[in-house]
Amino acid sequence: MEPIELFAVPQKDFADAPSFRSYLAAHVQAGMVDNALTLVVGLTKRTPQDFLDTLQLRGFKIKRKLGAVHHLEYASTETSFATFVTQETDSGVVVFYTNFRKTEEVPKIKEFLETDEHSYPLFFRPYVMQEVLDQLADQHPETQVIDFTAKRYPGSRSLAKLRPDTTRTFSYWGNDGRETLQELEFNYGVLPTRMIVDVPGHVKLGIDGRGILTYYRGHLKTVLEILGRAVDESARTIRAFEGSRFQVFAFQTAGREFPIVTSTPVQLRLQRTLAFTDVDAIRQGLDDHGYAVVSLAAEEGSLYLDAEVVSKQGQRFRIKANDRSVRMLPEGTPHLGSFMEFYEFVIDSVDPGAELVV
Amino acid sequence: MSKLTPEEVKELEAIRGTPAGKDLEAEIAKHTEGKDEQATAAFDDNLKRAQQHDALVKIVASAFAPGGDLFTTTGFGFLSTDPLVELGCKNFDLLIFNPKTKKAILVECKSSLASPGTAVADCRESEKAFHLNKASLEAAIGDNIVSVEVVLCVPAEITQKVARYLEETEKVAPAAGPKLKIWQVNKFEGQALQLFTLVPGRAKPFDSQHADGTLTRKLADGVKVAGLEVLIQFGPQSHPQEVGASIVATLVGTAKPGDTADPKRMRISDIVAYCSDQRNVAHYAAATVGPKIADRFIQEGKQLGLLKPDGKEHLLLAVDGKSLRTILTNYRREFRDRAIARSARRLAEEGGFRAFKQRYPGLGSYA
Repeated sequence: MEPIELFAVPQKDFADAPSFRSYLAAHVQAGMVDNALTLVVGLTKRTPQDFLDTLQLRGFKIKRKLGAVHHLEYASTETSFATFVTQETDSGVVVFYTNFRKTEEVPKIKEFLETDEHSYPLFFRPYVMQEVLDQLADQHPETQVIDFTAKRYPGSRSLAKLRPDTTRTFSYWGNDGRETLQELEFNYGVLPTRMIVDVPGHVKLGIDGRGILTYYRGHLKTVLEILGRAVDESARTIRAFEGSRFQVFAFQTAGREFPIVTSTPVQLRLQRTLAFTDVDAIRQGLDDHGYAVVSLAAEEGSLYLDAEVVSKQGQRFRIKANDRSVRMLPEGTPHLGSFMEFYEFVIDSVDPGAELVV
Repeated sequence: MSKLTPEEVKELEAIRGTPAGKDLEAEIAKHTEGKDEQATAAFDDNLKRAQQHDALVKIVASAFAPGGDLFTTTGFGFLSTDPLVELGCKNFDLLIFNPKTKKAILVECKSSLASPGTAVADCRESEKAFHLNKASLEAAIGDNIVSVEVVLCVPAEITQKVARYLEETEKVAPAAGPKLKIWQVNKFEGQALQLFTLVPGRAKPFDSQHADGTLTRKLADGVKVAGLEVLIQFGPQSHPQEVGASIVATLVGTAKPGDTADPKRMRISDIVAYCSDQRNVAHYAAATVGPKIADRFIQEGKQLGLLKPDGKEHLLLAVDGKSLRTILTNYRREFRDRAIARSARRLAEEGGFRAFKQRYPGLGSYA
């Protein structure tokens, strides 16, 4: 097999990430690129310099600097590849652009984002993916889905005609994926986790809930527009996260000072109504996601839930919930990774339609 | 949980060591039926009550969180749970204080009300204890307390019951001095704290209101605890299982590859330090109250076989599991199972002992 080469971008000084993407939209076409072009989206609390330093500590080397864009190379005993990376300075969104293989090399990028303390891969909520598909179909009625995976989330209360309590996953390949997805949604209440969309004569792209966009052929611009949406969504996520706070307040009397611990939560508004009967499923979900439960108290009437958990990484926080919302109260400096993990937990185990309140 | 007096327990142990002990054990064995269920129900009920009580206390504390809206507009802030518990007297659940005006609000929380009379009597008793020990409290908080208001705080579902009771008793014997105020909490509707002003029969509307007009207005409208909250790990009244889980979660690590230290080995001084930190226990005298809580955790743990001494300065958590997740799950389960078994035993002993004394009245006098 011929060694893969990173798609070519001449030495230029790009002012920022959007101008890099404009360049790509204008100059990159499918034929020029070995394999598909994969875009991996993530969030970081690190400054751009700190982010690059961290990448270098983890084995990525800077081959070239193109203004706000960096051409990185990674080499280890198992694998080697190259990628471009950008960071939006105002929102903490990072994007990796590579044409190396999704199954072999791209996972290293995901691994970096997952294991870095101050970064996390973005995930596309299932309803967001559905909206992307609907919008494409509105503009291009001949839009087809030729490959998808869809699952019924345990916390889902979306309507399902058949056996709604069964957790299930479908993988489908066929030229009628759009119709089939609709039928499966109707019958089994499943939501897409990834899909490959083909708009004949326009674009073929992939969108994976784990924060990966793929460009196969056609108008790269369409893929980059979807990426733009992901960037906006991520910015919103970071804003919601930054609204949370842990603070030890010094209560002062005439003669003494007392520390009072306070926490400001991140709030998720639910699409479905939570009931007391859902508490066991939530408890199970917490366990499935690796949380150690320090305490969990729940009361019926509608629902009052107060729990304290420790995440796999040792981050401790409180969870409060009622019938319409779930709140995460940090017990210590808020940690982006913990927050994103918790957000994923709520989408997976409580309500796939949950939305952050900013 | 046993209703045997300490003297009776001594007597029971004494009889055990004699030939009559066989008959005593036989009697106890006859009384084991149904005790598991009884002990289980009692344990779960106690835990639920303690959790409900803690929830109420935390909502009130959060409504008055320093840095929060109520504190900023009225000057009243949450200072401590259980004021004066360190002196061993009857005490309220919360101390809310205004450092500018030196006014204090003492709050008694009742999450359920078998008898409103008891709740009101508790408030009066705690109020008396406060006045007797006012100087101590002032020294402890480092400030004067110019005036005090007493509040009974209940879930919104039982407000009417309390109001009716107050109407009855105040009709018959109107209390001298300021009347008891009522706060109600609705946990389910945005954790709302509200001043209840419609106690029937109170001729003067301000009998049900606070002296501070701004505070009255804000609380009468209702304050929702939707954002900022006060975090309290546990208080002197929290259920021992909750206290234990919190200590274990903090002090027990997860085994890491290459680590030689046993993650289940806890230093006694660390346990005491954790319980004595006001950031965990939310009490102005955490340094005094903490060691008692730590001691209770250790003694209870040893008695239930969950903690084993390891040298003079350490304890080993005798619970299975390598990850914190498993350890905590097992700790909670073992605590519950063993506490229930102990209660069931004591219930059987009580029944058996009494039956034994009835049957053999002569053999009982070992005092």
